[in-house]
Amino acid sequence: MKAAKRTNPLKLCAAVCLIGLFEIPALPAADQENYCFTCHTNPRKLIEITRGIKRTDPDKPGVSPETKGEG
Amino acid sequence: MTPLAPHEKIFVDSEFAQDENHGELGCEDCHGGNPNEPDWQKAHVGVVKDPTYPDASQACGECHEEIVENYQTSLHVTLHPFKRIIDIRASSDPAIRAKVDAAREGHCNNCHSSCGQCHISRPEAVEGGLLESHLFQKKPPMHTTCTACHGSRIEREYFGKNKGVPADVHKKKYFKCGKCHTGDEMHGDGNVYPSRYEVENAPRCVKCHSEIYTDAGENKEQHLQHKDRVACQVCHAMPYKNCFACHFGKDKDGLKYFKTKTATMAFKIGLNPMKSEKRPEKFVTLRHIPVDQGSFKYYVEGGLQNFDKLPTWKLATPHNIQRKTPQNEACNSCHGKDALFLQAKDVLPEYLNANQGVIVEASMVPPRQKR
Repeated sequence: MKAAKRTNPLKLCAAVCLIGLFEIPALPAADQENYCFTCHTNPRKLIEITRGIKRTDPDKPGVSPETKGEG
Repeated sequence: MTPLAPHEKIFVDSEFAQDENHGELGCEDCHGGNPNEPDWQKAHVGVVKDPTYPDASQACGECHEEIVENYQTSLHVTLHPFKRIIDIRASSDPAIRAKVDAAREGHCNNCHSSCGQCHISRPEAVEGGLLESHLFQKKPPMHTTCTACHGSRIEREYFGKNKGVPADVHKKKYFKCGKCHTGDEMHGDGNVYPSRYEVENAPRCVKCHSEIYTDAGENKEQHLQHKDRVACQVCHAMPYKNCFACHFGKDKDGLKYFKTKTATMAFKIGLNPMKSEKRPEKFVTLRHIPVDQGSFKYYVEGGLQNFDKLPTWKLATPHNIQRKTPQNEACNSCHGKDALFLQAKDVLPEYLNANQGVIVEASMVPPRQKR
């Protein structure tokens, strides 16, 4: 009968470290701020920006006052 | 529907990042733009507001392949029946037709929807704005998506907002739109249907009320007598909205407008203009639609030269169904009641030719019963 091969603890340790290393590349991306998310989850910031847009572009076309009746 | 403040329209709930299906996608994966740019104006260069219209294959197709495969046949995306009926009525002169087409594109095509405009935001036709702050909604919320667009007729009927007409019996049972109008119907099935009434998996009353023609059904006798002769709505709908003479154009500032001349509440039974094996009834409820010979007049004279090719009183399925209605109280509440039927005198003279096929001659009104 073939004897079960015993795992070398050093090899096991090296394998775990390698798995850990491969996870690492995700971290730098997390360091870089995602401004879409930062801004769009911040109501205060959005209020400031949308008010700013309104000030600079007050004549954004809306519904014509001539519209009458049900659509 | 409560309007949203400008910032509310674009506010994203940070919980979105926890969405196990969509939260791992970067904003730019769907919308483009530059997430690393702190200046919001520069960051938004190239941003696509709705990455699911007109093509959803990039944004949704990778995971929802089967649904997206049929996307281009969803009536909410293509508005194909609108184009078809305008094409039928339009002039055959190519130059005039091109102007009609351009006007249709400019005015009517705004009313489309998309994956995003049901599951993520309010439809653009009602000024958009994120639903639940970008948290994806598997079932589109009724008030902010379905009836946001289908407001004048369906919403008012279904919720009982027309004076003196109660809410639909299904509303009283807390049915939302999706109970009858399934996702499969909304998403399209790969077939290009000429009308929503021909969609294979569209709602059918008998899907739920399958017992009405059996011994277990209430009023089996009446139901069997009228089966395939009278549409369900003829007995079970209430008066509904009819609109007349919509014209559209642009005002002095270049803003698009539409003007509907009148809207009236009425209930009219007429001859079925879409008789088929699937819809064999002789009598159906008809609703007046707002088309008019001059609807496109602002853009081109004689745009709808073939106006009379289709009726302006159109097959309708009013959404104010009741078990008991004035016309189903007794046999003679309908039989012999000329006023319930669309007669020539009910049709505006300018629309008479168009509606010849749906007008009920006096001799065709079912006679009074002697019991």
